[in-house]
Amino acid sequence: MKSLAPKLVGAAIFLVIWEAIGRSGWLGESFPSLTQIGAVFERPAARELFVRALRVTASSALVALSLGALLAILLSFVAAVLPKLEPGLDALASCIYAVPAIAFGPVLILLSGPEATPIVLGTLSSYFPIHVALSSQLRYGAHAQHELARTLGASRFRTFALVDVPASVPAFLDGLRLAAPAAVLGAVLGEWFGAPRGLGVIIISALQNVRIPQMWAAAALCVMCSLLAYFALTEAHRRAVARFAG
Amino acid sequence: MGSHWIAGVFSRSWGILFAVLLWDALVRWHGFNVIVLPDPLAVIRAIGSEWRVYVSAAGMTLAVAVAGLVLGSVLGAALAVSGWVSRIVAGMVAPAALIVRSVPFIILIPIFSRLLGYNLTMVIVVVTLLSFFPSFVLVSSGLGALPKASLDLGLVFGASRIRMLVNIALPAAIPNLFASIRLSASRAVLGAMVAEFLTGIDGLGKLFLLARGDLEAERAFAAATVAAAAAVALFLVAGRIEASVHRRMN
Repeated sequence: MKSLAPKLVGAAIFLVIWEAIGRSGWLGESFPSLTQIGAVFERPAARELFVRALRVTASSALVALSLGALLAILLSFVAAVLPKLEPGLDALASCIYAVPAIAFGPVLILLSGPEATPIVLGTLSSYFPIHVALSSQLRYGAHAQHELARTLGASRFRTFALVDVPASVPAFLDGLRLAAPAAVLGAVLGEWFGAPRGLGVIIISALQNVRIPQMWAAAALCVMCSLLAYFALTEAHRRAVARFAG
Repeated sequence: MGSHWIAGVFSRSWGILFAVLLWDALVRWHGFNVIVLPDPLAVIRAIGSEWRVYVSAAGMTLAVAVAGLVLGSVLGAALAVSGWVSRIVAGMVAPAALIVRSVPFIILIPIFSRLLGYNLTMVIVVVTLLSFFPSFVLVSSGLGALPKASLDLGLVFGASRIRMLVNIALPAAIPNLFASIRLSASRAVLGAMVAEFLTGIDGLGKLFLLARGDLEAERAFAAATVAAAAAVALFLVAGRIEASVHRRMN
């Protein structure tokens, strides 16, 4: 808890700076102050709209993050157990991640339908950070313990299950921490391609109608999702480091 | 000797081959219209017929991507280090970093264009902002996961906080910095492409924009494919660098 106070002070300074810049109009119309953004939520009808959209986007992002985590675990475990496959799998993982969404968006909609596109794009943006964090750890981390277990006669599989996997838990949580905002952004981006509702839909329609505070209000809710996930995972990471890397 | 070499190349590239075959199968099974998704062969032909254009555009996009990637990674690491030194800085930086990372980028483009104008600097800034976050998170985590014993040892010998940072903390965090560069590499290229697409600055993004405007799907997808290839190449290069850093540090 003692680490919380300086963080709150830091966050408060940040918010004050934002408000001051917004009020001064230095960055123009496209950067509203926090009070202007907050005023969007004053009307009950608007509030209801935003809450519904938030629920849709947050649940898409959560599903996407879970799918991305599963995919990343699968990919990096296969690569760790079958090192021969590793370079190729790495290339495949990066190929899928390197697909430019601006070009392949229409294809995705045709393949998965506008309703599922947010989940698909969220999954595609979130598996990769987890995969890279996990595979870096499985490849280079816990080297001494790994060698020790092998020298003492543990099979490759036992070493993997009892040494490498537990040692990779903090790296996995690091990956998740990076992936959580990526999942939210992926879901929002996916919603631009014709989804019926969600924060992304609000952003794109506010953008088209030049309703900048609305746009930022939706963005603020995206940020809130990411912040919640990030700080929960940071706490989990802290505990995992204490438990697994002591 | 010869077959050995081929096996080596195959073990590294089957993933890429598989992705291209997947794309081809997708077009065949689904019977996509050319505008939606041309088949890989048509796209490769389009690249081959004007390869000079694509190579020079890819060079520009890659240069911008690498510049932003390096700047972003260094910035992220610097923020992580300053957070390690001061808790208040950590409290200010973490939310700011997360906000920049999780606001949909399209909202920020008008603000950047006002601050910087539509030019190369803006594209580099966009890539920098895309790549600083992984470096910030992973380097912070490397600094935070230091074995307590090594810091205690430093304290016992009376090392100042700065000396502990330079001699103990930074070396421990360097592998994480290179992991983050590998992580950001491919999105740096794509980010540069999207920024070029939105601003009309020369590079693969502009090629894509122009070809799409003319409804020339093969050329548009040629630009997108070259971007994907450049992204994968940069990722693989970053992986090589990471591996050699680990060899040197062990």
